[in-house]
Formats: sequence, structure tokens, C-alpha cells
Amino acid sequence: MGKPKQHIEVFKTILLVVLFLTTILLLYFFWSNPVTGGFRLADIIGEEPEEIPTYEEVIQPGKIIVHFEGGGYTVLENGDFDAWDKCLQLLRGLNRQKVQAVEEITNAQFDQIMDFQSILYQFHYDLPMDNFIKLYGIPEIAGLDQIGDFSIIGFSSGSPESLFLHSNSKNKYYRMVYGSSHTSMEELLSTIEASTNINYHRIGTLVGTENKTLVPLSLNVQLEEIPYFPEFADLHTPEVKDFAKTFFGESFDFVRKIEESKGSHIYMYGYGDKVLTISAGGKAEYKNKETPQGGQQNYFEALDTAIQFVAAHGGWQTSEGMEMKPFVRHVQSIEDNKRKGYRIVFGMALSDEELYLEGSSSIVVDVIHGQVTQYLRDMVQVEREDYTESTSGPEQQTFSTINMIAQNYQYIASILREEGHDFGDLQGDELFNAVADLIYSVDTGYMKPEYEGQESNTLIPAWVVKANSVMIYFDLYTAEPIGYTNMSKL
Amino acid sequence: MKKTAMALVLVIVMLCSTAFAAASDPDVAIVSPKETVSGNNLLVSVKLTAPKTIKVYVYEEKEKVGDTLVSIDPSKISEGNLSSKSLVSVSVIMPETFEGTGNLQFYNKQIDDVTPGLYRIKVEVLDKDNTVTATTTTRTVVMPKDSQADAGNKIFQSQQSGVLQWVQNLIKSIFRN
Repeated sequence: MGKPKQHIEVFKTILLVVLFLTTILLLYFFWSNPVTGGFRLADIIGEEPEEIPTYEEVIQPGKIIVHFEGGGYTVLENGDFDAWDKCLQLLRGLNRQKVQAVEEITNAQFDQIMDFQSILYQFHYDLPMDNFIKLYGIPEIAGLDQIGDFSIIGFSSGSPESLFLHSNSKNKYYRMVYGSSHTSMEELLSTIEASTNINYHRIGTLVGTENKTLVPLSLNVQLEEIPYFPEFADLHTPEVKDFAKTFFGESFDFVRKIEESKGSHIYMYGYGDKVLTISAGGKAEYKNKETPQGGQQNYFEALDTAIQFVAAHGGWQTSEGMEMKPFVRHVQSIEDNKRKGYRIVFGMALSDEELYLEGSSSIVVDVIHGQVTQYLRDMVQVEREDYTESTSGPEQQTFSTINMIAQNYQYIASILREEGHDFGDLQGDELFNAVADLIYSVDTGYMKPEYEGQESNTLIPAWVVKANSVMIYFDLYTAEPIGYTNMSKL
Repeated sequence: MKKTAMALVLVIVMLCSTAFAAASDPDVAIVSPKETVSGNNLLVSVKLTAPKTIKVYVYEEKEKVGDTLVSIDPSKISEGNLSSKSLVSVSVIMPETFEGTGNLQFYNKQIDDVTPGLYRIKVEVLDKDNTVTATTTTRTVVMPKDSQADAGNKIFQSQQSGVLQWVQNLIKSIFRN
């Protein structure tokens, strides 16, 4: 009769050991996961991996300009006719044995040849040719290295066996002569010309100056105001704390947190070595003053550093709202204590319309010697239903582009003067011509006014006029000025 | 000699931005088209530097041959043979009225599918009673686009030969590496 009791005792002992081990294991999970820095439920139940855009996705031409055989122009949206992909396919398929010459041509020759049926892939910044060739799998071609940086790739039916390049930094033009015609480009141009397109004309042709910037003659769109929410609307949520933790990691426990009377939250490590400020409007700014330890990076390496950093610190999409498309809007060389790097300004696009933020930008990353020294994040969330509702109405005619400039040239001049441009004593017609000639881009988009504590926030359909380093916004339908952003002061 | 001089004057008047007008308005100027345009579309741009109401007409100047009207061959316009021809203005668009309210604005219109020939743009300035107070006119010659490849190749004829450039590039790349 004593045996069953003995078995029960053994069973109890085993149960105690199992419970003890389970306790230790759970404590380990909860308090000290050495790999990720903390226990996360998502690690157990699983979550979708963060989508990190590739450099090919974020590097897109700022404009793709088509000049028709019969005269006139149109500007393609990125993705139209797969025009950029077709250019890359052509470049990748080049046979280096068939390249007859890479030669410098004059500005006049470039203009003359582009007066034929042609296509221009235009970037608003310079790309280093050697890195571009390596990363995009383009054959190395003798003579191409003389170009250095480029900002335009072009093709013209006037010389179908050539490709044309422009280096903005050197202000030089080049022609790469191939052994045969680039028929894929000719076919692309024929397809585009046979389609219904929006007519564009040069500002100079419309107003009687030399400016070659293209603007639509008239434009009908389906854009209306869209409600949005800042990414960090309430700074007391666990999501904001989790976001802050990504910057400080293990040392987050030693980070001082200051809540300012205006509603900003400041996270500071050490003596301000690393500072994260999240404003009441949801804009996050991170500064790292630690000395960069890495070596100098080229543009594409810096871009990769920036892409990975953003992915690890907030991600490329907001946790809620519709997906947006990131792209590189502007690149600028920077220097700190003789260390060189890049400021990469990323924009976001809602469907095909770019988002512009007054006095800010969606994402700005400074990369110096492999270290992110500054990071600005100002993301908005737009609900899919709100977007659909705002873009499903009837088409409306926008305010005439050229009359928007004519009506506001004095305002544009005043902004440019504030930013340091000297117009001397110019007035009237002369001032208008000077202003018109400074404009290098006119686009439509959604503009987010600077946060002023409004209860309901809306994105406003806008004309965006780019001149010097300033983007000036005007209501798309009334041409009333609604703000501006100086890219050099971001 | 006298005839040649007359023809020359006519050509100069026509081709050198022939903005002539009976009592033209200084606040109204035709910016586009210039004296010659190539392609198959015509851009009309009128600059207003005061609040004005304008009415814009676009005509093609055709030659009467027998009972039919034919477009004027643009290559023959420079030969100065227009004086002997009777020109008939054929309206290309329905005249458009544009009311400018500001101190600087532009009227723009693109006319598609125009054929080579001689065109005339007339801009009338109207008062409140729709009475014409001034008229500005310009003529433009629409030329056909050049044959693409032939004309394109001419642009680079002065460049050094492709083979020479290729050798130069090759030498450069060898020494660089």
C-alpha cells in the first residue's frame, strides 16, 4: 500500500522541478532577451517584416520630359509607360564593344538635338556615374568615367544611335555613340506620342524669356483637401516610447526625458550627445554629436545607410493609414569638422501626388562617415477612405500655371529676397522676367501647412514652384500663396 | 530692282516679328508665336500688363488658285513672291474672348494639327461695350519639321570621328587604370 504514495511524492518532485525551470525560462524571456534587447510579444506571435525600399525604388528621375516629333512637350509621371525601367533596360543591355565614342558636346548641340523627338530623364541632383554603373549592373564603358556626376540622361530620334548625358556639377554635355540605333527608345517615344498627353510648354516661350522649364498649358485634376493625422499625435503612447528607445537601445534607462510646456518631449543621453525631440505636432528630430568612426562613404553607400537607419527608427511607413511611396527629393553635400557626407531629403508620394510639408520634409537624413548625425521625421497618416473620397469627385480645372506665376511674382521675389537672392532694383516687367527665369520646376502636389495645434488637419492641393532652394506653395485652384519651404534650412 | 527692294521690305516686315497694328495697345503684346515655328502645333501667348478684355483670332493666309484656296508653301515665302498673290484669311479657331483682371497676365492657347503655311494672329482690345479700341497683329510662318536623322547628324558633323574618339577614350581608360 506504500508504493502509490511513493509515486505521488516522485511526481510532486518532478512537477516542482518543471515549475521551477518554467519560472526561470519565463523570467529570462521577460527581463533579459539578449538578442533583441527586450521581450516583445510580436517575437512570439510573429509580425510582418519591415519593408525597406531599395535604392532603385527611391532613386527616380525628378522629371521625364518628352518632346514630340510635331513640336510640343509632355511630362510623364514616374511609372508612366515604364519609361525609366525601359531606360535602365537599355543601359544594362549595352554592349561595350559596340560603343564607338563618348565625347563632349556643346550646350547648343545638346539643345539642338533635343529639339527633335526626344526624351530626357532629369534628376534634381547629381548621381556619381561610376557607382551608378556598378550598382545598376551597367557594363563599364571606356570614356564614361570622364563624366563624373550626371543629372540627365537623354535620347533623341535626331541621333538614334546616341545617348546623351549632362553633368550639372561640371556643366558639361556628353554624347555616347553606339554601333546601332536604340530602337526601344524610338518605340517608347512613338507609343507616348500616340497616346493622349497633357500639353506642356516652356515658361520662356509663354512669357518671352529664356527659361526652358516646362509647365502645363491647362490641367484638370481630381484633387481635394484630405484630412490627415500626425504620426505621433499623442506623445504619451507606448508607440512613441518604443520609437524613442530605438535611438538609445540599452542606454535608454539613462536617458533624461524633458516635457516642455509647448508639449514637446525631449530625450537626452549624456551631455546632449544624442538628443531626440518630438514636437507636439508629431515632428521628430534626432541629433547625434558623437564623432563618426567610419570612413567616408560615396553617395550610394550614404543612401543605403540612410535607408537602413530610417527602417530601424520608425520605419518607412506609418503604423496606420495608407501606404506612401518614398523617393529621394534632394541631395546636398555636407561637411562637419572636415568630414564629408550627404544630406538626403526624402519625399513621400500619396499615390502619384507628392506630399510637401511647409518648412519641413517627410524624412531628412544627414550621413557623415557612415553615421547618421541628424534625422528629421515628419510623417503623416492618411486614411484610405479619406483619400478615396477626396479623389473621386469630378475633375476640376486648376488655376493657369503661368498666370499663377504672373499673379504672384512679387510674392515669389519677396521670398527669394528673404532667402538671400539679390534682384537689385528690378521692378515690374524686369522683375517678373527675372523671377520667371529662376523657376526650375512647377508641379502639383499636396501641401501640409505648418502645425499650429489645429484640431482637424488637412492636406491642401497645391501648385509647387521651385526656385533656387525654395519651394513655394500656391492653392491649386485660386493661386493664393499658402506657404513655402527652404530646402537649405531643413 | 524696285520690285526686288519691295519684296525684300515685305519679307523683312513679315519675318522679323511683324507685330503691326492700327492703334495697337501698349498693354497688349503677342509673345508667341515668333516669326517662324516648326512642327504641327501653334502656341498663342498674349501678355496683358493691365486689366483688359481681348478677343483673339487665328487665321491661315491662303492663296486663291482658281476657285480653291491653297496653303502657301513656307519655303517660297522668303522668295518674296507674296506681293503678286491675293491672300485670303481663313479662320483656324473660333475667336476667343479673354477678360484679364490683373496687372499682369497671359492668354494662352495651343492650336493642334496645323499644316505648314502662313498664319496671322489678331488680338482686338475691347471696351465695356465690346467696341474694338485697338488691334495687334502678327504673322508667323509654320515650317515642316526637318527629317530627323539627316538633320540630327548634321549637328555633330564638326565633332571628331567616332573611331578617333573611341581610341582616345580607350587610351584614357588604360592610363587611368
